[in-house]
Formats: sequence, structure tokens, C-alpha cells
Amino acid sequence: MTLQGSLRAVLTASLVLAATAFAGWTKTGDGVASFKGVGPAGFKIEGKTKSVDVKDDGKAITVVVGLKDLETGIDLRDKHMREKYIDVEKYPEATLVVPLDQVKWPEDGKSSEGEAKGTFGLHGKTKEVSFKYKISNTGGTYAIDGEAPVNFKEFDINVPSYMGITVKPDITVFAKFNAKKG
Amino acid sequence: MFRRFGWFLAVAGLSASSAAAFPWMVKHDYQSCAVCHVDPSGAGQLTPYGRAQSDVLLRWKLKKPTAEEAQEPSPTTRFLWFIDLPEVLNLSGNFRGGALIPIGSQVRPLFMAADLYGTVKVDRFVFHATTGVGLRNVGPAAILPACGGDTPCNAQWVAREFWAGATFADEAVMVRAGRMFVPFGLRNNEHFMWVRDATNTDTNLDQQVGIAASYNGERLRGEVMGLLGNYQLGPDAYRERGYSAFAEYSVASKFFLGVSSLITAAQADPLLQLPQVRHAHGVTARWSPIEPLALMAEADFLAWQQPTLIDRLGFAAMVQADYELMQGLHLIGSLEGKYTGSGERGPSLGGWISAAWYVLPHVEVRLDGILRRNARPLPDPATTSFTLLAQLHFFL
Repeated sequence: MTLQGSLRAVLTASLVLAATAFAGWTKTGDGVASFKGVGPAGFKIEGKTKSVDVKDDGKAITVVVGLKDLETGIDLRDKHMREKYIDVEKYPEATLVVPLDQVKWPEDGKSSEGEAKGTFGLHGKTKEVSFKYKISNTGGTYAIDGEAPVNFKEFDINVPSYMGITVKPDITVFAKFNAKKG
Repeated sequence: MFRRFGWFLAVAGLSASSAAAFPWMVKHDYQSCAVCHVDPSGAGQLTPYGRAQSDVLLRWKLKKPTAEEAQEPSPTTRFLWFIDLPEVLNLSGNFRGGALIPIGSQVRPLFMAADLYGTVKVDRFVFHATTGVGLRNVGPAAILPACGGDTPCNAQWVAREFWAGATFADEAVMVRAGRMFVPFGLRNNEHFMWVRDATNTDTNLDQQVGIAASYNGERLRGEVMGLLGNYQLGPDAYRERGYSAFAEYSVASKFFLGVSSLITAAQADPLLQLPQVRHAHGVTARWSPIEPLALMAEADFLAWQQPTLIDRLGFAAMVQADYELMQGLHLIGSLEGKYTGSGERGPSLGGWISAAWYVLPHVEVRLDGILRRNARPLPDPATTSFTLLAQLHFFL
């Protein structure tokens, strides 16, 4: 093998190894993301979507929630939410970026839970939030369940108010999905 | 004589209007009734939000719109279809008429209700009153003229509710005093079902004067009321005093379980003129397993205690399935039972098949077919009847 050939082989091997190292977390199976808000006199609103994905840049895991299919059970309310408040055409996703070392990843057959910090992105704004999580590892597939309190006024979203019913800006967001490494 | 009085009571009960209540709203995960109704435990006058929801969720639509197609509530949801009211004032009305069609007997046209509702809300304070006209005997809801029994009135002034209240804790708590619905069981639209009739909690006729505190939280709602009696009944010996209460908990999304309890005492019951303590204690359930379907159930233990007589024990129960064939068109099946411990051979049993069509803004057309086997004290045999009840309902 010539020197040039040896260098090419080393370079190729390095690229393959690097690519393997970046083949990080991917979502497996279905996931669900939701939010829960409340208003006066026992009013509550819950929105849900199955549009959940996971990205990984080797340092942080990013949970990506598509908001275009977020549903609350009432079509007109969905329309108001998507068009008047979240503006899903302009801001179609909510994200939570979590540094990988912030979370306790359990060994096979075990589970972990705790509280960590991540960066929540919504409506074109980002803010650090604390969230609670539970993770269980079954054969290298991690079942991840998390929730975080969010104040949507901090993301420049107008407080929804309709016919005398005003939703409180403090809501809770939830995500549940399975992910696998590599 | 007794038969005539019984027929008269039956007509008075059936002809009474229902203060519309929709426990099947569980299918939209609405546990709290206070968002849509002025009464914090449901039934009766709608709030502006409730009016909007009646157009968005209740009114007949051939095709359920998607979120993209969804329209704002029609301007016709306003008072009298088009009148914009100031925020502090809420006016509406309830007009219901129809026909009672007993199989084998003559059709009886029914004038069921002509009530106006008014609510003034200033900051945390709420003032609510209804007034109307009733034909024939509207019994305990009538103010003037006083009549009843075998001599029904042609027309009476009716006032079913009048109360003042104040809200606290972001409207989760309401304390009020006046004449109001008795908090017990399901506030189902079929207000003369046996669960309502046997517990004296018909939302149409059995309002009571009292003081009540209600709570509507995220998962729990309930109300407790101190009953001071129905002051539209006299003399005072007939007035029942005690308490009534219910609580309902959200076990899971679109699944609610509840309990109710009522104990009253009166110096005289209308039949035997003896002092009477009356008990009703029961459980309720509401569940929507799939979006078009709502299942509801109530079972109540009943007891009547009178000196010198053996206690009477009984029950009233119902199960109901409400299936929304398309938005605004409901097919409803119900089964009910009742036993009053009055020497009947067995329980009374009934089955309902009903269709409710919310055909236009403020307009409901409804047909109920009611088959009932009425058990009577021995030696009288049980009677079986099938009745069709057709209704046209305008809510202003």
C-alpha cells in the first residue's frame, strides 16, 4: 500500500468511526406530547399530539414536538390555538434541548428519575426550564416520560380569553416516548 | 278520584319543562358545569361561553368541521338571536311545548314552559332569577295562584330560581342563598326519570330555598346545600329541611365518579300527615369511552322513616347511553328502575328510547318513547304504559 493509500484508509476509517459516534439517539415507536391548562370555575384544557421526534448532536438530546396537529378536542379551539396564539405556520415546533449529562441514563433493566434543566423553545423564544423525568431501560430501549411547568407569557404568547373564560398562563407540558441509542 | 289525581300528577310532571342540562358533555371532557351554566352545578341558564359552546358543540351540523374549517359561533347565538347585551347582564329564556301521545288514548297538547332567565354579574357577585308562566299545575314551582290536587289552575306565575351568590378563589368556590336546584345526582335532561322523581330532585319542580357552597376544581367538583324548605308550598309542616350534597371526581380523562347524599325532615308528609325523615344516598358515573358515546348511571338508596310505621326502604336507578350520530343529533337509550317499599310486589321498571335534534340555533326537537311498568301496592296489579312525548324547545 502506498503512503497515499494508507492515508486514504486511515481517513476513511476515521470518518466511519466519527459517523458511528454521532449515530446517537433516535425515537422508536409512537410518542405523545401534551399540555394541560386551567381557567376559572374548574375549566381545564388539554391538548395532545403524536408528532414527537428526537434529535441528537452528540452533546444534547432535543425533543421536537410538531404543533400543527395539536388537538384539544374542540375544532374551533384548535383553530384559535394554532392561528391566534401559537401561530403554527410561523412557529411549527416546540423543542426541549437537554444536555446528555444532565440526565441519569439507567442501565439495562433499571430505571431512573430526577429533575434536570433544559432549554425550552416555543413561539420563537427560548428559556431555561426545570423538568421532571422518569426513564426505564429495557434492552437498550429507553422509555422516557417527562413534564415541565411553562408560563406561556414568557414566550410572548397572548393569554387566551374567550367569552369570559381566560386560561391561566401557567401550564404543564408533557412528553412520553421511547428512544434508542445508536 | 284517585285515578284522576294520578293522571293529573303524570301530566304535571311530564308537562314540566326541563332546565336543560347535558351531563353527556363528558364526551368533550367538560366536567365542570360552571363554565357553561350560571348555576355552578349545572342546568338552567347558559353563560356567554355556554351559549358559544351550544353553537360550536351542540347545534346540528351535517359534517363535523376540521380545525381549519371551524367557524366562529353564529351571531344568532345571542339573546333573542341577535341582541348584544352588556357584559354584566345575561338574559335568556326557555320555551317548550309539545304533545303527549299515550298509546290508545287521546293526544294531549302540552304547554311545558315559558320562562325568562336573568342574571346580573358584578365583579364577584351574581344575582339570578327566573320568572314565567305555567299552565295547569306546575306544583311546587308556582307562586300564584295557590292551587293543586284535583283542581288544577289554568295559569300560574312560576318562579323556579332566585338566588344571590358570591364567587371566590378564581370562581372555583361559590356561596349563594335563595331558591335553587337541589344538589343531588345527575342533572339529566329527563327530569321526571325516577331517579329525579323519587329523590325529589327534579330540576324543573323541586327547587328549594337554602344556602349552598359549591366547588369546581380541576378534578373535583361538588356542592353542599342546607335546605330550608320550599316556601312556595304551605303550610310550613310540609316543608322539608335538612341537607343535600354531591361530589364528583375525575378518575381519568372523560371518566367521572360521584356520590350524593340527602336527609330531610318534615313535620308532615302530604299523604299520611305524619312526621317524616327522608333519606337518599347514591352514586353516579359518567364515562365517554369513545367520542360520540357518553354513558351515565345513577343508583340511589332511599328510605322513609315515620313514627308508628315500619321504615320504608327502596331504590331508584338508571343507566343511559347517549350516542351522537352526527353533531347535533343524539340517539339516547335509558333503562330505569324504582322501588318505594310501599307494598309493591316488585320494582317499577322502565325503558326510554329518545332522539334529540338540535336542528337550528336555539331550537331543539325531541322525541321520547317511554315504556314503563308501574308497580303498585298490593293488591293492585302493576300497570304497563307506553307513551310518546314530542317536544319543541326554544332557548332564547
